[in-house]
Amino acid sequence: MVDPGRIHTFAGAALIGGAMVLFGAGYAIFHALAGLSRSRRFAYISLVSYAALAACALALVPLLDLEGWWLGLIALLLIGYFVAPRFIWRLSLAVHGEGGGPPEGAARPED
Amino acid sequence: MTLGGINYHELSFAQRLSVKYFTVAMVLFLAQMLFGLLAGAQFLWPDFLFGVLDFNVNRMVHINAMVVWMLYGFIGSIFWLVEDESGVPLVGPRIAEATFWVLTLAVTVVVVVYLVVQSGPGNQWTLWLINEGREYIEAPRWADIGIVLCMVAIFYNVAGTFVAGRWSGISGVLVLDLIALAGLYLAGMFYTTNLPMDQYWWWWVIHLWVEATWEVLVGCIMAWGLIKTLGARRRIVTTWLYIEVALMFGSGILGLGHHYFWIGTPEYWLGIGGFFSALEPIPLVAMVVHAVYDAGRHSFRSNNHPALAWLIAHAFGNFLGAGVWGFMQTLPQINMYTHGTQWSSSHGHLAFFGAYTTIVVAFIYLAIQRLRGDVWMSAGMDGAWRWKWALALLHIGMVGMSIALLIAGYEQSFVERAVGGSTWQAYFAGQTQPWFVQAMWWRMAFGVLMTAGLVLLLVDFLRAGAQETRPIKSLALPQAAAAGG
Ligand code: HEM
Ligand code: HEM
Ligand SMILES: [Fe+2]
Repeated sequence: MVDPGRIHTFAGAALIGGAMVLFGAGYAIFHALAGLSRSRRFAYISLVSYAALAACALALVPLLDLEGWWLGLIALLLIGYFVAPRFIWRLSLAVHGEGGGPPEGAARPED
Repeated sequence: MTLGGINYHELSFAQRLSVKYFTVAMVLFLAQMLFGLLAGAQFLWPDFLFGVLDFNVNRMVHINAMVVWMLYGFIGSIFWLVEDESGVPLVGPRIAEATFWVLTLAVTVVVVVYLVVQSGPGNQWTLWLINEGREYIEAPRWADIGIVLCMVAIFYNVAGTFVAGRWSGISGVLVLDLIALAGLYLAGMFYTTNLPMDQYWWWWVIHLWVEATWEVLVGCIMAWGLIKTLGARRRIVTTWLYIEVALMFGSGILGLGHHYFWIGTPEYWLGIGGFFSALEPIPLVAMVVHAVYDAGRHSFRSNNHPALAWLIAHAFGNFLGAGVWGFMQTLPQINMYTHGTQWSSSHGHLAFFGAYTTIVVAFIYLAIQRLRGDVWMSAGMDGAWRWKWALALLHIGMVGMSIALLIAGYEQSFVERAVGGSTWQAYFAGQTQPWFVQAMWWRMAFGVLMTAGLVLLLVDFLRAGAQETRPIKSLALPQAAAAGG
């Protein structure tokens, strides 16, 4: 039998993990909205979401007793969630030719 | 074409075939719900239909019907787009038509046998004729072989049509993905009496389907759908598809290890599975950026409101059900307690619905628009309340059900795993606690709500666009139109 208090720690860690991914979406959505509307408020909310994401990720370390290369996973999560949405955003702009170049990739006639 | 009428005979051959696939898919979806309700009821009244339709049978029909109807939905979608995307007619119409009927007959026989022969010995005979005993893909061996032959025939038609016509980024990814998807099915036919080995291969099918090949397949369908509903640029959509494939396969293939924690496989899977599967939500989150970008760029103008709404539901549902609910239990430190509880079931329901039901429904709405003669299906659409209510009821039902199951799973982890120490007795003790029992009632209530939503959805499929006499308005963006004609 496990110490019953311990299970709440694990279940809490699960919920915090879920919240981390939700904040990841918040970060991504507001990053995209900020780019679309050029609004500083959205950019700000996006960064706050990322901060919350980072807090959740770091909270997993003591809750799950992570050590050794599991810490590397946390670092990778922090980097991956930060970079991927920005990367996709840039890609969307570039493909639409909004990065300064001419509009490219016109749809086919039947599109 | 008559606006608002049924223009079945004006559709191309492959699209008429799609309509058949979609029809069977929806019949099976309804069957899935009804068997789900029966299985759910047996949690409340364990004697209900005992010896007549046992829980294991209801559960089996529930999830096998799900897998089959989703595959039917995907095949229907592929046949719908293949001629448009390749620019030539289907290469083997006769074979395609025959495949549909053979496959449907086989599915019917398999289900009837499930219902007629509910118990008996497990040996080579039953393996070949009745039930292979692998959750989600329980079809007996004869049907397995038939399914594989049908898949080869379908593949011949799809790939052959692209070869005869023209290739595109979308079709290239689609064809490669179909090879992987069909190839993986073979892993599920491998027979061994060694349980860890059996489970090892079985997960290749289940996990590598839903978390790799199916995701990419719906990515292809969605890419084509975005071009059609939003007039999105082909180039942006295709580039995104390549990135998605890289991210999905990069994390999803080794993420397989999150099913190898406790089945007797070597310990290194704890690290590999935990590590890679923890990265799986990243592409799902990134996908949301793409959805927001596309929707924002086109200011939500679309020529098919229900389809667009369900495509957006797909982007968010995939993220929530697979990404959030999946991540919660994917680290071995957590999974040790949640493994195999209603927590898993909560995730299973939300992920399958959010990722795959949504996209098939979206695609059917696209097909209906064409069937009705390319009618107007946007703002001010006649009877729009039906699709909106169906969408709302199905989603409220599904989210409510998932939360109820999550609560039950939390309680099981606590009572059965922590306090009870995972004994056989504790397994049952966990299921008599008030939190668990109440959650089962809530699941039932939300299940009824969902079923009502599904009935309304099916009514809407028959009625949407029927009273409409306004034609579709072309949606392509001004620049796209100027550049592409
Ligand atoms: C659309 C994609 C997905 C679908 C349809 C799906 C579906 C399912 C289903 C049905 C199960 C239960 C399997 C069983 O019968 O034992 C399951 C288990 C699991 N899923 Fe997913 N899943 C998806 C994506 C993900 C992702 C992205 C993650 C991780 C981030 C994940 C993590 C897990 C884990 C850890 C389990 C094992 C639960 C246990 O130990 O009982 N899933 N999934
Ligand atoms: C009327 C609504 C529904 C009800 C009442 C219902 C009920 C059930 C029940 C009782 C089980 C067996 C759980 C167990 O073994 O403990 C089950 C399993 C399952 N159902 Fe449903 N269900 C419904 C709708 C759906 C829908 C819409 C989907 C997906 C699109 C779905 C996907 C699944 C999956 C994947 C499993 C296996 C889960 C696992 O083993 O972890 N169900 N369902
Ligand atoms: Fe998985």
